[in-house]
Amino acid sequence: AKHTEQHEGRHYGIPLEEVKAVFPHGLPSRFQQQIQTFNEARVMVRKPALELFSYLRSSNFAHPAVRYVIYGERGTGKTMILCHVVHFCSRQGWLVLHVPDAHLWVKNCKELLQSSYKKDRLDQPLQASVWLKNFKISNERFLRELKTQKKYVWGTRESTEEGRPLGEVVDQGLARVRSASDAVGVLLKEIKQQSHRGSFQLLVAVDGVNALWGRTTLRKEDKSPVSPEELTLVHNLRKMVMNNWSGGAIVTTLSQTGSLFKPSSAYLPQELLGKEGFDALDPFVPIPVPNYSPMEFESCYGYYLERRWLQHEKARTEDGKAELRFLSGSNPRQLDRLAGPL
Amino acid sequence: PRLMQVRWSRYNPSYMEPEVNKEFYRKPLEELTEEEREKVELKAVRPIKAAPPNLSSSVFSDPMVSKFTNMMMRDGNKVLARSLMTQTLETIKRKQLEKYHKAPENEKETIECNPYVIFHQALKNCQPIIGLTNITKGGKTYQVPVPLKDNRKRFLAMKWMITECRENKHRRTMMPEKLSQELLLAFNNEGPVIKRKHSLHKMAEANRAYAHFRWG
Repeated sequence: AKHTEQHEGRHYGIPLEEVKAVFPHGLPSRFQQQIQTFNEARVMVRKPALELFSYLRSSNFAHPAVRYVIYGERGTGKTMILCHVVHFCSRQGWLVLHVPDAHLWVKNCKELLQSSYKKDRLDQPLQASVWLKNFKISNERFLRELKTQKKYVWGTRESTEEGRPLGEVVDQGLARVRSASDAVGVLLKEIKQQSHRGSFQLLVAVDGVNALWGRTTLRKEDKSPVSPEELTLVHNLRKMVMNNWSGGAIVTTLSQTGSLFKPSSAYLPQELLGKEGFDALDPFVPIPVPNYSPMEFESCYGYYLERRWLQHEKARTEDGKAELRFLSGSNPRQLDRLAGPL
Repeated sequence: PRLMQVRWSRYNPSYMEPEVNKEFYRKPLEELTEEEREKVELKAVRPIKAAPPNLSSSVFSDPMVSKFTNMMMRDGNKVLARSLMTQTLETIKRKQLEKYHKAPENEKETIECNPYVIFHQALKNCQPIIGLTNITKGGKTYQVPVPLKDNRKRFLAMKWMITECRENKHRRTMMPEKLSQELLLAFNNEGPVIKRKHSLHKMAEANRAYAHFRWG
């Protein structure tokens, strides 16, 4: 199921080995439970995803990277569409830079280190090392092929020469956890510089991009609040999301569920990104994601019946179907939650 | 034991209960039996009581499940109790489905996946048949074996299930997980709740000599 074009509303399966290779950290937790229960991963093909595929196929790689922002109300399947796009691009052989949830980088961080590279920035060794580990699993091939173009000095004794494969940078970051965030920064810079040449296409997939411009819940040791610029990971990611490089595309998702200090009814880009974020991301292609259409609802219902997920006797009747449709309001997340106990 | 009624309602006796079942209203007049036709005629004339909040016309509602959630509720936190109940049913379903997919072909039909069926069967297996009551005769109180009413049996089964899940678990296990484990064990007639039922039966059998105290 590589290029699903006119199969709108149908589910297509991803083989389990590919799931482990392509998405070590990307899928929502409920979806991972579904994979474990049904022994297969099935994603529904929806219209926004098909639009994105047509844009990506017809994009000219000599021009600067185009930015796509997927937005929609809570629980309408934005993260799933992002995962679909990531899978599509990895099938085609692109280098995928997948950040599962940028909100994880701006809240609940246990260790903040002062950065050795620049004095006023703060490092996050835990999150950086976790991300590097997952990046290594998903893109091993590219890490062996691409070479560094400058010499990087990590500390008093370790340094990476010119021309060494990028895998060494990643191993360096994993071995020395203190300099993990710097390793991430180096990686992103190298990839950006080398994407001009056209030897590979780059896809930057960021979920919850509004975390990069909002506020953080983290505090420094003297209890003063940290703004996102002071975090190295956020700073480097912002440079990636700028469209001053060519040879790929940037697909981002807005997310209200993990966002900090934003009301729960906000879902438009203007509200969630704030003024700074909106100006920074300014020329972008918005892609709205609606709730399920009647056809999509039917297909989802049929899938649940077929996999014996809806066990209640009354759930198979017309009345039960109408009731599910009404109670969930065709919202994918509500339907999933309702169909759980039934 | 119970002689004075404690719960009573302020409604006039002419008020009738509300009918929630949608199927009842879809049947045309000819198919109804005699009693149902009288009831329909009465409904046109008599006033009807207000429907209580836990009564729903949804196809998926179950009186036993709502009773169980009410018993699990603490400090009036129905939201939490209901979410725990839904999570329990979901974990039961997931466990059974995983077993189903791993089982060989001939065993696939014996594995029951419907969480409601498992819930009802487990509670039925936990219900005791006779119970013990305290009867005072000649200054001493004796534990006398006595038959139990249906409501009392259901109540005891649910109560034992909930107390057992609340007390005998490791500090970090969540309630839905523990409850689903207990329900699956009770479904197969194993587990601590069934043991408690059997010990009650044994006590009743041991005190058989006092059975005639029931009648004075």
